[in-house]
Amino acid sequence: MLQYIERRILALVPTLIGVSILVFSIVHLVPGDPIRALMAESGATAEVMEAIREQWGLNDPLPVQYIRWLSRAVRGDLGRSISYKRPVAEIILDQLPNTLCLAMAGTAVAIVVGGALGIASALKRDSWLDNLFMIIALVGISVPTFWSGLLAILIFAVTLHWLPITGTGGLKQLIMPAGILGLVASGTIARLMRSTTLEVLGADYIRTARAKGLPERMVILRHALRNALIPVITVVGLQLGTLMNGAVVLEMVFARPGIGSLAVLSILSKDIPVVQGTVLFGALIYVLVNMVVDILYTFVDPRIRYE
Amino acid sequence: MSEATLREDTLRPSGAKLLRPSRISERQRALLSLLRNKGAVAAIVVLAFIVGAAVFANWVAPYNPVEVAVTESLVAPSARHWLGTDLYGRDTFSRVIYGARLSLLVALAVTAISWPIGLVAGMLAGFFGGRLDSIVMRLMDILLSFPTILLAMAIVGALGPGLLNSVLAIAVTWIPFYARLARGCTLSVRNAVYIEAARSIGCPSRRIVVRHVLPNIMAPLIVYATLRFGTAILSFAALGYLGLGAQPPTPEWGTMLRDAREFIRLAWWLTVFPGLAIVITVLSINLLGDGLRSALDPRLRLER
Repeated sequence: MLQYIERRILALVPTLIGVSILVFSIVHLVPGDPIRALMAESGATAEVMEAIREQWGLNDPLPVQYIRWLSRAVRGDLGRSISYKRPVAEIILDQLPNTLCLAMAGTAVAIVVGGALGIASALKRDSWLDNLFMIIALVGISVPTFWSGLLAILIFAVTLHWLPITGTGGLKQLIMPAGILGLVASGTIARLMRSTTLEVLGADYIRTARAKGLPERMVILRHALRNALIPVITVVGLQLGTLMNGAVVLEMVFARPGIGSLAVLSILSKDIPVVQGTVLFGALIYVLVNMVVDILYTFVDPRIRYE
Repeated sequence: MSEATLREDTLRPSGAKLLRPSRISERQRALLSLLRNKGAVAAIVVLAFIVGAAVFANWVAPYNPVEVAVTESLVAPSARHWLGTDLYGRDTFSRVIYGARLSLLVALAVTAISWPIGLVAGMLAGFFGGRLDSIVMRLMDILLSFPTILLAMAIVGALGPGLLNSVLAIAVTWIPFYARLARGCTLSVRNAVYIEAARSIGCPSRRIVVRHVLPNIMAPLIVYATLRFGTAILSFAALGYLGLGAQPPTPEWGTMLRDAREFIRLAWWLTVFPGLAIVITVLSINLLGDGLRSALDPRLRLER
């Protein structure tokens, strides 16, 4: 087991190097000279620009620049933001709680709603309820997340006046974005839950439990659900991409501060260090969580064995 | 249709005996199966309307989608403007129709770039294995290390917001999905008896790949491309909404919704209709994809 974990972590190294090269190259794909763009307003002369270029090491060969950038990034130094005039890492850490809050609330909604729907449709297999859920799921994957957010604003804030449109802080501001994020991610969970519940319900130990005269409620709660819930752990990994994609868009829709809106706004204001920082940070989280989920899964499900 | 259904029925093992072994080709059988799927047929009809409106937008749209008419600002849906107008008095219905043209073209472009690249890379990696396989798959792993929208945003961040750059960004993020599927399918046919037979009679690798592997991995890749087509429309609209895709005044669904956000209290129609257009289009594409999947996969077909 330890060996497996070790190998999983080692296999990550080349991937992360690739990721960092890709993120590093963002700045060099930008058309035009970044220094000239930056200094144009201040009316700096060519000599001044050349001096700055030399000072920042922009005249060095790319591999040298990359190594320098990477060794700083590894130590948590992601450079300084052009528009915020602050270290990028600091800005990201400032915004992290907002996004984490949204993501965790969304995950909770997704697990509760997806789990309930999945179990319900498995228990009532092929009923009208099951069919209705299937149709809702199909429509669900065809609706853009940001439009669901706009519709929620239109209905719950503009028409019914139940909830505030935007902002952070209170629970009231979290209900709409987290609810939608959760619903978006719940479709996959419901499908997974439905199929595992069906699988478990067909197992021998369920038949045994029924045969020994346990009431149906007990059979389902004690025996079926406990085993059907195992894959839910992986759901966090499976849906992580959906959650992150959704969080970026929903933060913009609800004008919530967070890593997603930070990334979008910095692209729009051409604040490249922040773009690099947020993208690198996002990819790192994504890769690490996926790995942890993979490893957790081997603990939870003893049937999975890796040489 | 009824005769077609009848013939299909006699061919199904679950139905009556198989009197004559198929005179109908596999392709015709798949088509029949597709036409018996109500959801898929409805989707085809709806898509025909959407594609028709997109192609003939110049004639279908009652107004010029970018023409400003200050006196008609924020008019609610009426007989003159079926879906109302925006701040600049531009007709929402006309903009939605031109938006359909743009979204379909973009999804086509994204597929045309990423599908062949992913297909070839995945197929060759799967067929030849070894060094090539590890290089290609490592590259794909790197691309898959980003949540899709983040990678697209990184690329747009580098190239700058805009229509073409966002198409390119989505296309790049799509490649690994096709490559993985193509590789998996190739691995499953690589050791098939007919490949071995071809090899034993001295068939060169190139010919085996083109004549034997490619046709046999085509069906799942086509189905997947159809299902992804809808996702491409969604991604493009999302980038447009974030301000990273098509730029105003281009009539694009995501960009229209971005503009609508400001007037959400004043003009509900600006928020409702472009979104509905996205949902109807993507839902139809997904229904068609689902139908194609069951039609092209013999195992699913027998279950129906």
